[in-house]
Amino acid sequence: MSECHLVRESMPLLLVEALERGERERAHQHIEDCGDCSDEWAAYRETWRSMGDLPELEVPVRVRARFLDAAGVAEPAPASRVRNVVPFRRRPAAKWLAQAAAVVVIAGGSWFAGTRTTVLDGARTPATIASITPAPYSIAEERIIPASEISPHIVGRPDIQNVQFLDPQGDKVGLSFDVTSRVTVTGSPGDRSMVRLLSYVLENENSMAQPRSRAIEWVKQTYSDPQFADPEIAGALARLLRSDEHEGVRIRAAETLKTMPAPAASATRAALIEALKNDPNPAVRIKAVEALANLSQSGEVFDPVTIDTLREKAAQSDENLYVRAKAAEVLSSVKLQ
Amino acid sequence: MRQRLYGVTLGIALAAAASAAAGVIVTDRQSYELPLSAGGVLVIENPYGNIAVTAADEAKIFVTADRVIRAADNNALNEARRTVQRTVAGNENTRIIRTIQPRSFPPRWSAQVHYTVRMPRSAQLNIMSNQTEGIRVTGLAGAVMVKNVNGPVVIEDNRGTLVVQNLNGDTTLISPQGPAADMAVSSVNGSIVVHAPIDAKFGWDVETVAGEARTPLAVRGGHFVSPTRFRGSINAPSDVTVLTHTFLGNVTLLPMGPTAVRGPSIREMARSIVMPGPRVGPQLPLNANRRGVHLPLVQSSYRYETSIGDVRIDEVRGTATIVTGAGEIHLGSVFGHCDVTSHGGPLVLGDIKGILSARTDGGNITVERAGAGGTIETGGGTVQVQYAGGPVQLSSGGGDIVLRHAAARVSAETRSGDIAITMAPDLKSERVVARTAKGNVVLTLPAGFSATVEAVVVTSEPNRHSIRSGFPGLSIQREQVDGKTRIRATGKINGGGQRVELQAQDGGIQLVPATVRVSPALP
Repeated sequence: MSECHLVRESMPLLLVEALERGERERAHQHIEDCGDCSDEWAAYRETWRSMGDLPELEVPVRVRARFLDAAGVAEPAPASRVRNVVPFRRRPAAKWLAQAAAVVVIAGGSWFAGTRTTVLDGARTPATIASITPAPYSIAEERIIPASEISPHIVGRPDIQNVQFLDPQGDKVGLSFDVTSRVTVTGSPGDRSMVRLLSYVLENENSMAQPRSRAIEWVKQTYSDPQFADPEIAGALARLLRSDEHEGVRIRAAETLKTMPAPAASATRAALIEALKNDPNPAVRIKAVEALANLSQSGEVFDPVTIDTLREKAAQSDENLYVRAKAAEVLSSVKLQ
Repeated sequence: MRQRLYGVTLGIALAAAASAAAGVIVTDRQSYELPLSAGGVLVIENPYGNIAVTAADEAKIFVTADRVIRAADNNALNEARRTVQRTVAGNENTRIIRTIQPRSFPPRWSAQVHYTVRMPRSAQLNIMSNQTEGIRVTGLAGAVMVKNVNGPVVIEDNRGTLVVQNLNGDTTLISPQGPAADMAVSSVNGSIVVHAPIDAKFGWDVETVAGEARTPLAVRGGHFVSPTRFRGSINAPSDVTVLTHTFLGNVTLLPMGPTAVRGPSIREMARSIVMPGPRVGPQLPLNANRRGVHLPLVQSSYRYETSIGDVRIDEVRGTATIVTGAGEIHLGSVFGHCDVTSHGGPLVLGDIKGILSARTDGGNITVERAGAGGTIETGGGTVQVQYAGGPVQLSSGGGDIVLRHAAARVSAETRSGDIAITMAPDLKSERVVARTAKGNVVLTLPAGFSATVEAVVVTSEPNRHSIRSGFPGLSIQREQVDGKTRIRATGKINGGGQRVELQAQDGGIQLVPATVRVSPALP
């Protein structure tokens, strides 16, 4: 194999600074001396630079599965077997990781396309689901990954801590550690994974880089659209409404539930009733009774407990007058059948 | 238990299958009589249908229960007959008549059960109903309790204690001999009418928040126990009290027989009644226009007060003074000073050119532009101000405070919530005070802003809550106070200037230069 061929093969690693120091210096020396390799290297760097300006998009699941299948690489182990903490925190290596992943996928995709030499058959075939491919990446607290499924190249400078060396099991050794990396998840608001992820982060204050009331505002803007209204998001908001000690957060949660279409919000009625009865903040109670009014107007049938709570509120002389008036308004249009 | 049940299910089809489109209407009648002691209790639970109860001088109840079913076809009719059951249980001390039916009817049929009951005069009666075209109880001497949601209730010539809770329906009490025992009628949206002899003596406890309370009978003494609740005597003091409370409805106390005189309102009478204390009285405005007001344009200054109702005015070309007991206030633009008060409800204000005074006992306040600054307070809720051109004081009993552009000094305080203030980019120095008893403070300042800063964080989680500054010149001290960590940052930024005091408990503080990113946490 010629020197040029070897250097060109190692250019991706050179890009991400993953080559050993000696190899790196030899490669750079060759590039300086060889015009063809210098041009090749310049093209690599230009491509790399322009990729940094591109939005970071997730590789489609189906494309990835087909690629890995053709490459003879198995999917990662299911999340239930994994075991390492992966908290969210912004790391400067995020873009490097994404760029490296993009290079791997593009290079792999090119190779995969090149290996397909059969002519595509355009004839129609009936659509069948042979199997359901599990999502290739799950956000998990713990994860066990066979070494064969990990790229030998460590990209960027990931923050690896709490390294433990596991006792050998037969011919296998193990290494356990915490790694912090920046993950960007993109998708439609209706994607199950997106909904689940948002519900999780909404309820975990420590994960927020900005005030949670702002995050709820973001959720409100996204999920008040009837096409994306989701009971799971509504449930997460209901739990915030019940338990968050921050009054601004509870106000926003009730406010967001108020804007949610009835099918998504009806399951949260108990939380709204509880807030109306017990929340010390009048604004929370106002938003809760307004949300109940919306439910009533959308034809929701109220149970006796809800009606009784509204009646008590309307009659409670020391209650905020607006809450009383709204409770009376809801009762006046309450649907019994 | 001696029980004689007869006349079961006469199955009278009063009308049937007029046409396929009209469906089937069938009435099944069930009649029976059962013993009930003179001091016994009769309970009637009938979610949908009418109830008429009269007194009998026998220790028995006589019941007729007509089940009226409206069905699309015979299959639906049969399903309704299986589903809607009339049951009776208990013994001669307590009888429970109950209609069993689903909480909601399927689309193919609906059903009501109408009860006509005679019962021992001195027995107690409890009625529970959701929807009725009428509940009427006549001539009983025992205690009566009626709980209903929709539909009218009439109680006539009742001599025992009475409790009626009729959420949305109107209630009428007719007492030809005057109230002989305490009576309590409460409603939310319904009105209450009481007929009594013109010389009847009883105490009257009346409350209506959005309606009117009137009587032509003689009210002797009395006082307001709350801004909306009056307690006085009719003709003379008495041990018997008639309590009539409603939220949105009216209360009228009339003499027996036909009368066209409704009498003066209690609110009006209150003007001539001596109040027991300076703070007890009809503090709410006399106007009770529950629909509120909606005006596109007011050419001059405007003043409006109502005990309940929303106020929506697009433009006031003068000063505006608005008070509502309960309701939203929306003002588009006000050319002069603006004073708005709601005892409960959100305030949404646009371009206020004069000094603004906005207060609500509870609810969010949103202000687009407070041109001359002012005071903005809520008992609980978020405060959002886009622009404050003059000194502004913001406070919330609980909720976030956001001020996006402050061109003069700012004071912001919340019991629980985040405070975010952005000072105008051309400001060189200005006094800022921001305090939250639970939450974060984020203050964004122009890069050249000069200030003498004192920022204090008190937290039980010092790793989470810290003071971050994009301005050099602050020194940090940490100390333990009552089991919490107190982090204090003091110093002068850009050479020092007006005082900037920031306090956050169980939260962090950020001082952000308008164009520069925040540095990592200070040690």
